[in-house]
Amino acid sequence: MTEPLHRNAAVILHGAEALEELRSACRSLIYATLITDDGFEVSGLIGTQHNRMASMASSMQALGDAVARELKIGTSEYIIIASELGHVIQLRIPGQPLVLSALFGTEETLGKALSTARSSASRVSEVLIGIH
Amino acid sequence: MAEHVILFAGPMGAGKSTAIRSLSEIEVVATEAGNSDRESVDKPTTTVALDYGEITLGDDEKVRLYGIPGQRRFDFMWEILKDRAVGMVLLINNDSPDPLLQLREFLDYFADLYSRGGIVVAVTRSDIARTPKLAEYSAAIAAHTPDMIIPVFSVDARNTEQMRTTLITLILNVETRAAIIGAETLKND
Repeated sequence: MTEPLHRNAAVILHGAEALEELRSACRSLIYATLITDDGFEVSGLIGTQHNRMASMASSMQALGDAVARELKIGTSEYIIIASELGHVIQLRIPGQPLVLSALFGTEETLGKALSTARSSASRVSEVLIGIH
Repeated sequence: MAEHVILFAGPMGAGKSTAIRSLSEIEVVATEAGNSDRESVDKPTTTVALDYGEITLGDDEKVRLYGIPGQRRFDFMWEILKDRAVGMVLLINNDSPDPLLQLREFLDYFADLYSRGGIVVAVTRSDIARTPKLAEYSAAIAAHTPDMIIPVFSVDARNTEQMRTTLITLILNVETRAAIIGAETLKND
């Protein structure tokens, strides 16, 4: 049986590095997590485990995919929740059964936050291609 | 047209998604993801948000079928969907490590659905694990929740007719109880 990604030491390490890079690139980043499609946290920023948020992000991603399928508009690229005190952005890691979910403060423009999150997701994808 | 919302609950691997696919007249809305937890339940995918299907019973009774994720870490979806429902089909796979414990845990969590409408228990995979028998489920329900009258069936979630019988029994229970409550309210007014 293949080792699940959230227990693969190399994936966890590279995920954590990518989240640190995301924090360096975007000072308004409040929280970020890399999760498996079924909601297990691989790496999380801010030190503590956010298991409930990982599960919720997984549900949200799956619902976004279901809506895109229903409306026949291709695959869901990213999901945004824009709120009074922050923006949640989440997107799939290309080619991997993983999702990046991040919370940015409102001092960041949505465009900048999305662009940075996308770059981060691409980097994680490139690094992980050689691992598993 | 009368409309009902029915929840399909139960542990991972009990057959909730399969049951909804067996029953639904529309293409089922599914939210499956690759299962990283093969040690707990060895199946390739797992529901992470909901399953949704629809069925029409009789001439004018539309039933919306919502399946919830089996894993407790998705219990926020349980809360969201529980509030919409008037009844629940509780699926328990007989080959799980402790099906009667699962039964009690789900009955505890969804007890208010019984108060609002009704619950039926559908035991799956009895061909793989012969015990507990249905009588043991009934006894466990009677001992744990003596004020609840809950029918127990043995079903194959892939079998449309068996799932229809289970669903119709639940709907009849829900409607009968609603009629009794309505009559009592009228009498008291």
